[in-house]
Amino acid sequence: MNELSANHFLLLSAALFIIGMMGVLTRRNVIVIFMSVELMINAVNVAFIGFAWEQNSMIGQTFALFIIAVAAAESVLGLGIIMALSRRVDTVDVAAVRELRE
Amino acid sequence: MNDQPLWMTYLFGFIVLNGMLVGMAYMTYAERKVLALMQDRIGPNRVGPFGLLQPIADGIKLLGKEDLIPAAADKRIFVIAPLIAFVTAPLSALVIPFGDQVTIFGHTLNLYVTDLNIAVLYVLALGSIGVYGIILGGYASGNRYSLLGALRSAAQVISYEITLGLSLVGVFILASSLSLVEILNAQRTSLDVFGLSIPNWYILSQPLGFIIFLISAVAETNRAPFDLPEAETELISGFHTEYSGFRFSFYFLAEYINMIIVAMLASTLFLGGIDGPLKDGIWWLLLKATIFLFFYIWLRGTLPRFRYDQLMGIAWKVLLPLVLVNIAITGWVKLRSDGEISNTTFLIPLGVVVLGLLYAMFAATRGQAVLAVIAVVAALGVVLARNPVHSAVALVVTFVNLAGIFVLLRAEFLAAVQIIVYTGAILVLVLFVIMLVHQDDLPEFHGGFPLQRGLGVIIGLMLLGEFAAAILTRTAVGQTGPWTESAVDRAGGNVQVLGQFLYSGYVLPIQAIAVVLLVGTIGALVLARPDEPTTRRRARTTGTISLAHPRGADAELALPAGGTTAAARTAPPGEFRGGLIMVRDNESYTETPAFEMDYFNPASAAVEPISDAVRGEVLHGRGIGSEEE
Repeated sequence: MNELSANHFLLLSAALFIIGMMGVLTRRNVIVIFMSVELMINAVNVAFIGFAWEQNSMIGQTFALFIIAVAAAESVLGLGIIMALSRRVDTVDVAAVRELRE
Repeated sequence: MNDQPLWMTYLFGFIVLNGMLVGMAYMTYAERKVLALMQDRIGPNRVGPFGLLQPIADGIKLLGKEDLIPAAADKRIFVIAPLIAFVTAPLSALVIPFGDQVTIFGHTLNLYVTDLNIAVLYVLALGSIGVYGIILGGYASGNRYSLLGALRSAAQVISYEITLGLSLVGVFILASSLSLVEILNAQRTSLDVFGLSIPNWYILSQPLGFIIFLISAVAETNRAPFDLPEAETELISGFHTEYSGFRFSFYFLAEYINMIIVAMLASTLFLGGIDGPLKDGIWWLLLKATIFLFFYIWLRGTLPRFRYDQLMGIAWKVLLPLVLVNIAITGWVKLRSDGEISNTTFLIPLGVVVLGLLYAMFAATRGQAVLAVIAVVAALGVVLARNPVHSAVALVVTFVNLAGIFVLLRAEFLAAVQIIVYTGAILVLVLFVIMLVHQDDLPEFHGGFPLQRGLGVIIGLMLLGEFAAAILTRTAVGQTGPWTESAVDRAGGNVQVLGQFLYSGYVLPIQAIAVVLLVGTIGALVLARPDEPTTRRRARTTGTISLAHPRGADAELALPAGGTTAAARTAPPGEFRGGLIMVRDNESYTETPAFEMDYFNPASAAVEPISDAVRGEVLHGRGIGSEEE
């Protein structure tokens, strides 16, 4: 793996994805969880674009573009929900939000 | 892009960056002189002939001042923030064409540092990074006035970036390019109008776009009459109240350099840059830029500052509709004159700028390992930082470095979109954190979730194993695509190829995504709607005093409020009919009058302690400060 190849970008992608996942699983601040989700989405984009680069293809980039657009919609809704949530329970701690469970 | 040796590019870049600094120093001198003339004063006249050495004396003075860091400051961010503002400011100058080629010592030198094919987006992106300097500086100061300045700045810059970017779309459509060099060359042709030969400057074909660009640019650079983030009279200088010495001067430098950049950008985009009568050259660019800078100073000397709601109103209710009309007309005319609808290249920049802003990464470096390492380290920072604002900053660093990696992977357009979408999104995140989270009640760090932590490690290891297996065993199947580096270059660049690709095979998915975005936006509006829409109307009939207003902040009546830090604010006599008392503790305030008071007879005003019921509402209730407004 001396020559720069898609493998390197896959590794980067894996690292970012796993870091993001750990963030989602372990943090309790809903805003930080939201950021971690964005991190995971970006990890996927790195893999897509890395493959597109290796394969001389535009399809990977096209897909990444769609992912970014959907991620934008997702973040708009996510922030809306966070806002509504914090207004309702006055906290951003996910452990405090358990109305549906109890 | 050309065959000039790299060291000449570096040398020219060095000259340009230092030229910016000198230009900035004398910009301050010019501003003080011109303002003085407008106000019938003399201006600087003590240091050197005509006061010409004044900027140098000021620089020495700033260097010699004590560099204070307030005790309440978030120290790391406090130190970094001015650097962000200062470093991003002059980088925009690197894409501005200062002239044609010249021959020096047998080498041909291009009088521009680099000709990015997304140059304009690059400049706008740097602007949207630079505003982090202001927002983080305001947040990190630990001062309310600074924070208010920072919040204003965020809202203002996001709003005006949209109109700024959109106002340039007309130019992109006409020039069919985002490269400043190509936009400039397109303007250096002449038009024949009724036998007269006139220059093809875009101010003639895009007058509306030009005016909107001019207005938005003033707001982007935080200059009067849009200088609300630092409004001296209301916010005691806003975001840089707590900055002194050389850290303050970084903000100062950044502001003036941004002005110079915007002036040169406006000259290049709308006034033909180096194009002019007799002989083309850098002197025309400097002359035009000087006119713009004079215009800036003139505005400051003439117009009073806008009120905050007026500022936002102008951007969203006036400039945005106008600029959309401008784009529609320009696009229609362009399609008519081309006689074809298949020219899709301009739709891409349109999409880009609609999405927001951007920024691009220093290309041409082969630092992928560094970028990747920084991205991963910053990603760790997102998860590990205790303070969510630090998480957000780390996230920005991650995304910017990923954008750099995208550039290396020949996905320049995606790099720009990455920055546009995510810097904007994270800016909003930072705001949310500041609004919703109190420093002292951050959720317990990593506490109470041992199950998830163990699970996370297991799943993480499994994923890592899968990735490793995939990397070790994978073989490329099928044939590689046709878009090699040279093929992309032949087709006109990444933006063009991606545009052809998207608008030939993926029109339907694009429409679907647009619907998703629209639904998402509406959903967010519904979610974010205040519970009690009557609150605002009530506030208007009773009158409010802005927290940012010195009259509001001046607690004329310090209330002996039962041992708490509550303070009462009163309106001066005669201004309101009712008794308006704003009660506030450190975190919230309410519009509900806490007690009645006779303004016209202050002597008889009995100051009563606030009842516990009212205070309870203030502390836990629906203060207008926190959400409705």
